[in-house]
Amino acid sequence: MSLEEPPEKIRKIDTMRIKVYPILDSTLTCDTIPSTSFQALRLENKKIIGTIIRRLPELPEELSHLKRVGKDGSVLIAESEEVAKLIVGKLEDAEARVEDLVPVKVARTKPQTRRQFQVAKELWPTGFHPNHELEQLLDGSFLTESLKKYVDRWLGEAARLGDGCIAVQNDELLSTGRPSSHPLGHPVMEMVGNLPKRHGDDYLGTGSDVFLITEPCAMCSMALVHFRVKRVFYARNSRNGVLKEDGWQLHLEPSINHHYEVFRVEGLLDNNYIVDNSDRFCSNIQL
Amino acid sequence: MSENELSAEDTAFLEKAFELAQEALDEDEVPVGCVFVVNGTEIGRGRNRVNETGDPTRHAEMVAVTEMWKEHGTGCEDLLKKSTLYVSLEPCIMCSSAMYQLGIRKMVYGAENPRFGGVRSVGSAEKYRMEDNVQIVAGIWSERSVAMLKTFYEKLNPFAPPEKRKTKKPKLDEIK
Repeated sequence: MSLEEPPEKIRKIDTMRIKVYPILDSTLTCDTIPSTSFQALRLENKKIIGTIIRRLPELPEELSHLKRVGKDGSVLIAESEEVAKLIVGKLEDAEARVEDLVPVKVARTKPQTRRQFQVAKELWPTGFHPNHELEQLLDGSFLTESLKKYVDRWLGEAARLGDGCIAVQNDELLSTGRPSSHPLGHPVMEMVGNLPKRHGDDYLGTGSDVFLITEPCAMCSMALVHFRVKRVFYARNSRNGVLKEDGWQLHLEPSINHHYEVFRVEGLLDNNYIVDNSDRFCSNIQL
Repeated sequence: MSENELSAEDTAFLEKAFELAQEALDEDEVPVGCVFVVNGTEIGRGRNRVNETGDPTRHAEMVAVTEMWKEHGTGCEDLLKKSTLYVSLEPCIMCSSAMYQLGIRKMVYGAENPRFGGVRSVGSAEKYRMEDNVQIVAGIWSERSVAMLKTFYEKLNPFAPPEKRKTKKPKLDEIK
């Protein structure tokens, strides 16, 4: 198929206008973090902190992100007051007194993002290992000029097909699809069906990017899992789509053994790109 | 759900679906087979053809629907609305969603599929934002269904039986 570029002038305007939003798990976009109460021991004599810690049982695995010593030099002992008193009693150290146990708030889960880390460490010193790719998705820096141009180009091609679907692998067109008269002829299913026969044992779509005008339904979203897609970009929400934020999100379902990233692209459809709007699939009612 | 609730007709069509699954297994495909039935008459059948076609969506149900479409054209949609699907394994999320969208009447299936199952195990009509109006008879002849899958995975990859495969990844890996 021919893939003519639109005039450069129009392109510039379009590229500036599109916005690309990653659709992430709410546990990652959420800036707060669950907290829990813990018993900490105040120590007058800071010199014995090291000795005391060596004699304490390890913190439970699920709280291993917490630092043992607080900003004021107090030491985490145990979650329950009862257990904490027992532990401190057993130390039999005149400078470690049961009366010096105080409740403190700590982060109950390991912070997954820098924002969550900021909140967590305000409560109690906490360990954190930043995931740079995730941070870029959260702060918007993933959207480089070249990615913007890439998305604009291929999503534009999908729009030119009508309610289209385009798969791109290594910067090259892999396959295209548009609604057919098949009872399940949704754009994604047509795109997969239009692929040339596979060679070798690899999944044909491995690592590909898929561009869709309409948010895919569960059938199409799962077909993209079977297809081993890496990223999905779509332009408009649909009534029975399963990627958007409100409701079950297939790409975030933990039991499924392959996960792709999902992005919603805004600002592309204002310019009458869509020629054939007679789609009857993945019901494209704008929400 | 017990076998006793199946009629002789149900038993015969489910047997047919299992025979198609065996045919898939003999051809080194994931052993799943299915039959669509309207008023006691078979209107379509299919079995997994993913390896043969190189198309990861050629599951038994999809193969059957495409065959029916080739035979009846869009008229197959009316037939499907009256149909019962007999299938040897719980349909995956893709195929289950397709069945809800086609509006079939009833599904009778073998073992539940905890990794991909789209009727109850992982997905459901509610999750697909669809009306839950398909009658379900689940878990019939599960052992037979699972035994076939086991044979397939042993044949394919003796080092990674399905029950040993990692299905859950840590959260951070999911967004990479």
